[in-house]
Order: sequence, then structure tokens, then C-alpha cells
Amino acid sequence: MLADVGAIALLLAFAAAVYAVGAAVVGARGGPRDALWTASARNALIAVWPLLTVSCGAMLWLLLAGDFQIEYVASVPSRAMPAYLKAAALWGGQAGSLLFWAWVAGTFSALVMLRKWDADRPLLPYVIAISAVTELFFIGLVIFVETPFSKLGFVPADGSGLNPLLRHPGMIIHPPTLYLGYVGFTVPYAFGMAALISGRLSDEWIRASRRWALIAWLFLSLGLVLGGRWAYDVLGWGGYWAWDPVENAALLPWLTGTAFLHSIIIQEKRGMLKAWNMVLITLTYGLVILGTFLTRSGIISSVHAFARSAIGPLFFGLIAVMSVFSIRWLLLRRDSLRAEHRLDAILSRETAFLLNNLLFLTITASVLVGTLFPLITELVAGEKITLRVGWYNQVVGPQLAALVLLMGMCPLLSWRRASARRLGRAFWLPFLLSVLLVALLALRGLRSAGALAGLGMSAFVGLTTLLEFWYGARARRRSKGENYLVALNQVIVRNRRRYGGLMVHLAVVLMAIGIAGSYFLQQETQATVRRGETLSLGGFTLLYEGLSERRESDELVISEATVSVYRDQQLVTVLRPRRDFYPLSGQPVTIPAVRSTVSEDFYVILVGWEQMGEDQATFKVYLNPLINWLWAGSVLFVVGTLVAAWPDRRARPALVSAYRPSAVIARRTSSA
Amino acid sequence: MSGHRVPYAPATGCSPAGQGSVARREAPALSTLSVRLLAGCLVLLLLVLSWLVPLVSADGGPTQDEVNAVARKLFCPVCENTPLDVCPTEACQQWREVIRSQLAEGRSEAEILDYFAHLYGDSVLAEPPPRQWAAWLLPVLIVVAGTSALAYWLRRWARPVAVSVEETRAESIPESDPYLERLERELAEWDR
Repeated sequence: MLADVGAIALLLAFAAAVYAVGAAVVGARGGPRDALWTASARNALIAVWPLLTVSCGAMLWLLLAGDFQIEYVASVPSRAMPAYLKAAALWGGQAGSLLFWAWVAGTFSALVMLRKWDADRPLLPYVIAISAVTELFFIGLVIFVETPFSKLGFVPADGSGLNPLLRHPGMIIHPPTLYLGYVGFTVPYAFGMAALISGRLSDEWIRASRRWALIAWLFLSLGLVLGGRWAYDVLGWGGYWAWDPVENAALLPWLTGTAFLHSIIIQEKRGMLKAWNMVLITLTYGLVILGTFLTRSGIISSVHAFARSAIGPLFFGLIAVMSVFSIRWLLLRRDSLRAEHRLDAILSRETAFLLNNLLFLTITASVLVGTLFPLITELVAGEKITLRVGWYNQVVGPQLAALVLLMGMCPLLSWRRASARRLGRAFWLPFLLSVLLVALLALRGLRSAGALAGLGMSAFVGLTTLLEFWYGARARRRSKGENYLVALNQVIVRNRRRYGGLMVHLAVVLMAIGIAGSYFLQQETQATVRRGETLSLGGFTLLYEGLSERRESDELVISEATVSVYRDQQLVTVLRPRRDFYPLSGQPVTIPAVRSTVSEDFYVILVGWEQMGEDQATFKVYLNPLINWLWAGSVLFVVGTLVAAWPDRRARPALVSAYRPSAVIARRTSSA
Repeated sequence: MSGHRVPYAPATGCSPAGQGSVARREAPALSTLSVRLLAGCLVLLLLVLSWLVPLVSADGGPTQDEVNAVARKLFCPVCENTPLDVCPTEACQQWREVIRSQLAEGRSEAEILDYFAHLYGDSVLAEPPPRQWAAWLLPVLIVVAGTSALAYWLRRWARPVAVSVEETRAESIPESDPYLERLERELAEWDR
């Protein structure tokens, strides 16, 4: 019954989206009465959201109530799972995750429809049409291909249960965050295409969609970090990033999206790179669809690709149609996309931005080649060769380092023409200090060249960025006489975009420190110890105290070791690494125990044990220096992005209270 | 020294064909290949059997760290993308045993990696070997192509051109436009 409600709501949502596309196309003709069609299309697209909400709500209810006659409910959750996991099962399987995806997309579309459209109304019909087509694709998948509401001919006693690796609170937050990030990029893409088709190619579309892109980007970043943290906490291999195909699938649109967020600044400031920005947003949207395709089709096997099905060709079709469509319009409009200005000097911020774009794109292409390498080799040589972490680290690592270094220089270069002398003045202090730091670390016994280079570079970039804040605050203090704290706050509040961006840069520096430390300085050891025996690593000593085994439920047996951790003969902490075993699926999940401080993590994994003869256990222990800087950096990352995206409530319109006619000034004011 | 024994039928020894390794490289004469495979199967079978007897090498054989140092450079084809030194499955424990016994026989790391790559294909290696030259060439091509494209555009854009439309329009506004003056004033006010 409830399942029928959900299915009918889906059909209605599909119909509404079809109508929205049709009405928007009519509305786009731009005649006097066509505005009514546009308004009607807008209402239809808004109506899709409550319909999808009913459908998702019905599925949620079925999952929580455990109505196992529904095929999807029988295939994902099980009775013994806690309620939060039953709810999270909505995105734990193929059909449900597509339904949830459609709902997230519907939410974004409805919110976009409800924004103020006064100034850029001519873009509206196109934005409606493109958002609605994306919606249609996903709703169509859920209705015709992967049907979440289809029923079994019998009622199973219990569901088969979620993959044990996914039974974690991270399941509640990580997938939805990623979905929000993924789907959110539909909005700037729709605006970009609307600008292309309508021929309104000023920065109107960028101003209208910049904040949406920033929010999508924020969620995508957050999703990536949460995934890393989840892997670190649960997967038990001492790391946070494995270059898994699905991790890559989420990283790819993040890379092009980041390039986009940077390169639109050039368009706004200098009227350059108009066509390039269109390419970047199209690429980002395409990679979002490709990512969904890679995850959902199981074409490249991965931990995440929990389902394999025939939806692959449909996704491929969408990507193909979208590419042809975008490229066609790009070519048609190429004359209007010419740059308004030329490059005045090679040494300028424009060039730095272009270098930034180059690096983001080469990293994207490298990761894409790596991810698709099994497919490429299968086509060319008939054998699937999977590229692993060693390849990625060597190929992408240096490019990322170059990007971080560039990040430190870019804000110091002025627009149009930068002078080498000024640059030298801005650089000497950070450079000197970071060289000193490297020398100090080397004197204190740090011998890893990679770590020295990484930390020295991070220090240099961090200092140049901090100096920007300092210069800003000092200038304001001089002109206004405020104290430094007030001045700093005023500087940030009055130019949120710039200083929010710089905060994100600082966050990246913190993350780079964490990555360099944990990558180059990681120590590990593994040994089997009897009860009462010890194991040492990097100044820490681990004492095995014993092991207990308990049956948590029919579905879960937990084996937990107790170890005391000493440093300089002092007890620091007691840790309980464990192994969860799920008899039904026969799958073990290793849960590490971690003692975490600012300087390092002491990370213990229970590898195996033997209790029949002697009581002994095998532990693998990692020392991950500086890894918490990575997580701290992620928090600052979010804060910085929010600062940059926060709406500015100062009364900007006052600027142009009396002036209308000049095109130049209209341009300036509309940017307010 | 073991967790739960998983009733697992992985392609650890006897079904490498399932891993697509038969067709690899210059297709060595099938007979040598199958002899090699057979030998591999036998070695593995023996090891699997020996594994069932509890074994702790307290006799000064290779340490677990030495085994892991090799294992971390390998991925078993069954467990998706989990390095061999940390993978908890039974299949991977058996692989580690193979590494241990080969180390005990005095084989070098390179020889052991080669042994696994031979049996299961280059996908088991954390880092592709030189014979997978395409994997190393492609990123170089990408960077070279990207850099050349950027250099080309920089040269094109840096060339001075006639005054653009935008600037012409800006110049056509008379110098003494009171509104423009007011705007400049307000903007100046604003920037403070």
C-alpha cells in the first residue's frame, strides 16, 4: 500500500518533470505570453520536490518498518540493524541510492526555482529545462530500470543486511554529503548552459551561480574528507586515501570544480576565459555523471561498487548527449566568448591562475587515466591492469606539491602586471623562515628528504598566506586606528571572498602538513606477543593484557584485545583494538584503536590471535605523525568556505542610487 | 594466531585463469605456463596445508615486518584495493605465508614480486613495472601537452591588440559626468 503511494508519487514526479521541460522550451521563445509558460514550468519543477519527498518518505518508512516483501527492503537492511542504519539503507543499495539522488537533485532544483529571479529572468526557462532533464534521467532510472518499490512474490523472514563495512555512523553522513556535492554542480552547469543558449554571456550567469557552485564544492570536499576519516577509523590499514576508483570518481569533479571556482575570478575581474569557464563547468558536470556511472555500473570494481547492473549504457548515453549538446552550443557561441582583455604581462596574477588551471587539469587527466587504465589496457592489450597506490602517489604527488607551492605565490602577484621586486620583498621573509625551519628539523634528526621538503614548503606557503592577513590588518589599523583584532575582523568581513579563500588556502597548508607527515614519516611494525609481553615502536611500548570474545547478536561476534600503551615507562592509555566478525556474510571488519595527539597517532590493529594453546595475539602498529593536522585543516577548510560563501548584507544598492543609463556602470552595480 | 576461518574459495592458487593472467604479455608457450601454474598450485596447496598447523616462526626466520615490507607492495586480486600487508581475509594470510617461505628460502623482494606478478598479472603490484610503460608514459604526455597548450595561449594572449570594445565604450563616457563622479566618490567611500 505504502509502496504503491511511493511508486505513484514517482510517476507523478516524472510527469511533472516532463511537463516542466516542455513548458520551459515554449517559455524560452520569449514572446509576451510565453512568460506564463515559464512561470508554469517553474511551478512544475517546484512540484517535483514534494512528490519525490513523498516517495523517499515512503521508502524510509518501509525500511524502518522492515516490510521485507519489498525487494529493496529485503536486499539491504535486516532486523537486527539499529534504526539509524535501517534509515541509511535508503542509500545503501542501488535502487534506493538512485531514488535518494533524484530527491537531492529535486531539492536543489526547487531551491534554485525559489531564488530571486528579478535580474536574470531571461535565463530562467533554460535553467528549468536543464535541471528538469537531469531530474528526468534519474527519476526515469528509478521508474523503468532500478525499481525500489517492486515487490517479491513471497515475504522473506529477514533482510540480507547491509555490507558489514558500511555498518558505521559514517554511513549516515558521508554518502548524503557526497550526493549533495555531486548533485549541487548541476546548478552552475544549468546556469552556464542557459547563458550559452540564451546568448547572455556577460558574467551574469557566474554571479548567479557562484554561490551554488561554492556550496556544492563545500559538500563535495566535506564528503571526501569524511570518507577519508571513515576509512582511517574503520578499514584498519592506517591510511585515509587508497586511490580507490570510487574515491577517484568523487575527486575528479572536485578537481575541475576547484579549477572552475578559481578561473571564474579571472572572468569577473578581467573579462577573460569565458569559453574556458564554460568548458570547466561542463567538464565538472560530465565528471559528476561519469562518477555516478563508475560507481553504479560496477564497470571498474571497487569497495564501493556494491551493485552491478545494466544501467551503464544509459549513463553513457547521458554523458554522450550532454557532451554533444554542450560542445555544439559552445561552438555556436564562440565569437561572443572572446576575451575582453589581453594578457598585459607574463608575470601577473592572470598567469598564476592559468597555471593553477593547468595543474588542476593535468591532475584530473592523470587520475582519470589511472582510474580508466584497466579499461584502456583491456581494450588495447586484452588484459585488465589496475593501477595502485604506488603509481598514483608518484604521478599525482609532485603535481599536488606544485599546486600547493603556486597557492602560496598567487595571492601575492598583482593583476595585469606584477613586479619582480615587489614579489621579492613579499617572499624573502617567509622563504628565510622556512629555510630556517628545515635546517632546524634536519639538525634535530629528521632525515627524510620528502618530509623536509613537504614541511618546508608548507611553512613557506603558510607564512605567505598569513602575511596577507597581517598586511591587511596593519593597513586598516593605520587608517582607522582600530586595534589589531578588530582590524583583522573588519578586513575579513569587508572582503569575505578574498579572505575566506585565503583561509581555505591556510587549511590546505595544514592538510599538506598532515599528509607530508603521515606519508613520509609513518612507522609501522607487526609482531606476535604472548600475554604480558611487549612490542615497541617509536618510543612507545605496547603491553598485551588479554583478549575477550563476545557474541553481540546473531549477526555479530566481537573479539577485542586489551593493550596498555607506555611511553618512557609511563602508562599513557589503554586501547582496545578489535575485530568484528559477521557470520552471515562471513566478513571480518578490523576496527583499530587509536591514541591521538597533535604530534602523532598511535594506531593499533588486531591482526590475529590464538587462545587454545598459549594466549597470544598479533598486532600491527602504526605511528602516524602529524595526521591530526589533516583533520584540523579540514575543519578550517569548511569555515573558510563558509566565510567566502556567506551572503554580504551590506546595503550595496546605495552605490548606484541615482544612476541607471550607462552600460558600464550597470555592469558594475549588478556585480553588487 | 588466527581469527575466524572464512569459508572462502578465492583464486589464491588454483584458478588464476579467473584473474585474466593467462593472456598476459607476449603469451609464453602455453606448456611452460601451465607447468609454472601447476608448480604454483602445488606450492600453494602445501602452504595452505601447512597453514592449518599452527605456525609461529620463533626459529629466527623472516620477521613479520620483513614479510610486510614485501606484502605492502602487493594487492591480492580478490580483495578490492586493500594492500596485502593489512588485508584481514584468509586468502591474504595465505599469500603472506607464501612470502614468508620464499623469504626464508633466501629469495629477494624483487624475485617474490615477480613471482606473484607472473602468476596473477601486473595488477597485483602496488607500482606498475617498467614493462607497463604506458602507465608511466601517459602522465608525462598529459603534463607535456598541458604545458605546451598553456604556453601557446600565453604567447597568443600576450600579443598586444587594438583597443577592445569594452575600453572604447568606457572612453565614450564624458570626463565630467556628475553621476560617474558620484559613483567614484561612493566607491571610494565604500572601499574605506
